Amino acid sequence: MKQKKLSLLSALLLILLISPLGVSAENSEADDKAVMEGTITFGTGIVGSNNKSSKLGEYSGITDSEAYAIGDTEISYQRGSLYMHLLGEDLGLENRSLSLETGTYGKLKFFADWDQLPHELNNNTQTPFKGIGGTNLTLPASFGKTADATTLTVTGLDREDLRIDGRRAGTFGFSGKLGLMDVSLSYMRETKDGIVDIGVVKGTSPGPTADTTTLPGLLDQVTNEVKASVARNGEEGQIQFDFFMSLFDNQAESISWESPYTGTNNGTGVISRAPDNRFMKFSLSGARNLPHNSRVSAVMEYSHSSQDQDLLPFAQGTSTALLPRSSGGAEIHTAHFNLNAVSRPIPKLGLKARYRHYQTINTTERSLFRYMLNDSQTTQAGESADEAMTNLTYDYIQDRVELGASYDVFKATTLKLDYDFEMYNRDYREAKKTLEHSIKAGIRSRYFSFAEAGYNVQFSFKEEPKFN
Amino acid sequence: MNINGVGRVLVSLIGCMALHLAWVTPGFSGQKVNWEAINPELKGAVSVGKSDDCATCHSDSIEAFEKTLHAKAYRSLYNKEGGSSCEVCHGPLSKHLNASPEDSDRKLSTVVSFKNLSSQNKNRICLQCHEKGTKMHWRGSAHEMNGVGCSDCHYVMEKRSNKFMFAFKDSKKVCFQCHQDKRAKMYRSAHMPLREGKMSCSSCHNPHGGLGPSMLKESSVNGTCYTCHQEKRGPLVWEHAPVRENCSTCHDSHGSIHASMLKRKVPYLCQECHSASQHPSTLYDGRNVGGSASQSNRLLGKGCLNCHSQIHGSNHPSGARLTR
Repeated sequence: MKQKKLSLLSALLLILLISPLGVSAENSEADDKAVMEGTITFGTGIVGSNNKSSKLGEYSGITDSEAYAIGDTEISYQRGSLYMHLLGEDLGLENRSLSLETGTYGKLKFFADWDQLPHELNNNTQTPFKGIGGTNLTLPASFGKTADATTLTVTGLDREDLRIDGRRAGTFGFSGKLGLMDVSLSYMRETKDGIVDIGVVKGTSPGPTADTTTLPGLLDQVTNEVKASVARNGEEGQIQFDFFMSLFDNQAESISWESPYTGTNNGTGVISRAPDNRFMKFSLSGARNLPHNSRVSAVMEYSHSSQDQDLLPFAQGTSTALLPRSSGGAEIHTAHFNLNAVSRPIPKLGLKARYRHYQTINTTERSLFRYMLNDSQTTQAGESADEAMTNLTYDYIQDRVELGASYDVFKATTLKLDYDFEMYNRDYREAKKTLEHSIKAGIRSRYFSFAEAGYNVQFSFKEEPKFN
Repeated sequence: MNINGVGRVLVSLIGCMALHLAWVTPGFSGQKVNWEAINPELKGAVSVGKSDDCATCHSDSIEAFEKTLHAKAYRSLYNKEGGSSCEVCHGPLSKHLNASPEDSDRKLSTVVSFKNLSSQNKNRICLQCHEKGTKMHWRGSAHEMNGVGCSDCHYVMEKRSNKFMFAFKDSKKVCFQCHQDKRAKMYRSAHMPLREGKMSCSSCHNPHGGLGPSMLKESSVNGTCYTCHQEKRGPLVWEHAPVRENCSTCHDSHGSIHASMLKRKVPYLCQECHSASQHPSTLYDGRNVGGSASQSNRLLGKGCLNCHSQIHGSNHPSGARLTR
């Protein structure tokens, strides 16, 4: 694994080191003197600690007394308008980051980043489960199972640190000008793996009985993301189109575990984990300057998230044919529109009006899921039973209007007055529609450079909601 | 729920606007600044277009400025020597240069100095180049309307930070000048890696006018959280309604004294909504711990999450109660 990481990093560095050579062919200032400057810091550090503590190095990986390498670097190379900038921080620790940027100042930029982020969750966890790091956790044959937790004596515990290793292993891309357009494209690959604690339950409540256990559960996730944008930036107006795509892949989509209990809750339980998901977003934004120092800008976004993961059987060992549908079939469309109008008709007076519309459209398939009676039983509750439920497709619409004015009463002192109106319209919730009005007033002064003073008052009221 | 007619009209309008902008917008040349409106003394002043005279008095400032990203980018974009860029931000300098060195009042009054400039005027100067991209919606943003100026956060005359020309090396310090409450929260035990330098405020917020709530970069709170917590995006077969709507219902993203940055400790957090549904009529509190007669496993370990571990939603066919 470590070798794979280093290979990827080497490839990224190679691409970035080669790219300035291509750029240099366009350089009209090739005769400019090359300048390289920067700092490299290296050394060693020692941490002394009486006890191991996950909080000590929650995001650095140092949890106990240990020596570590210190490594930081900032190196800049410049020749005319060409440049290369290497920035490395905490290279001797597990939260190291390294970024390389090269191109032509203000015109073209290639970049690549490597970033690690450990997250220490707990360093004194103990568990009787075997197979940690896999998706099937078992108990040793010697484990003394009992009817419930009150009589359970847990022996043969292994110590297992809970921790997540996050790596933004490959972020690279470029931004620059293509004719009159500003364009950018980037790719990011992020991995997360580790062991986290997961509460699991065996049995049902209401039902015969329910018993709980905490598992050292595997986390093994990969996300690939692509961002692209095209913009036309003019003197009096700008327009920009953005695209974003995220593909999330969970390598541990379920975890099965051996129950420490006897009786009804004996056997094996299964818990689902986050399904693979896909997400795409298209965004169009634009702005235009108007007379009297005014400006109007707008954003329109549409996004679509979906997952169609195969569903697990309703209980361990039962046929998926008993399910009302075979896969998640879940998708949500989101629409967002934002319109802003601002004006400063006189230098001291600023006016703004903003309208925001945000709407989710949940088109997830709805089905009646008959509930299990117990994880190990093949019998489901009847369709008329209390436990049978239909999945609900929660939606909401938010409409918000903001009107505001600011007035500079004297030097560095601003008086503000705002009115906000917000309406939420929700599906399958207790209150379908809520309306809220807010009036805000305030004064803020930074007359003196060493002090700042302000006073704000707000009055809000909600209209009586209409209950579903 | 479908996109209604109003939505279609809005879509059409924005489409028309896009086409209009694409066809009529002239090439980039920077928005014009009315220097005379900013400083009436500049009436009749013209650009001198060279830097040598500026360096006569301001050599130290120019030398420091030459090392900044601003100077380098300006020279690259416009192929001019750094000194001439003085006029881009300080206005036409002919009157300033012609003023007698002995007449200091005249010298100071015939140049646009950022020391005595309102935030609006400072911003107007910066926006002549920067009103685009993430700064497109600066005007009308909460920061702009509250009198924040570009120079409150950025310093352009010398390099003080590795990126974005911040006024301080640590970008968070820039934000904490005003948002001291967020600095306090960041030092709570459960926090995102801000104080460790792995995130900054701008990881989530666009201080130049994000269109989400609280100037978030994304259009919603959840959309912002999903940029790192992709596994929470779903959608899922069994959703937890408040989770789908707003992560901030339960989490305080700036820091908390409770695990997982929860706003309250479990089960009190859960009981804010679930006080009379499921496990009915039982209020779990301190009376249910410590070997008391009414001891409950719903208060031990992960509390409610011992069983309802899939609190962000479940994809298990038997996960209606978010237990699998």
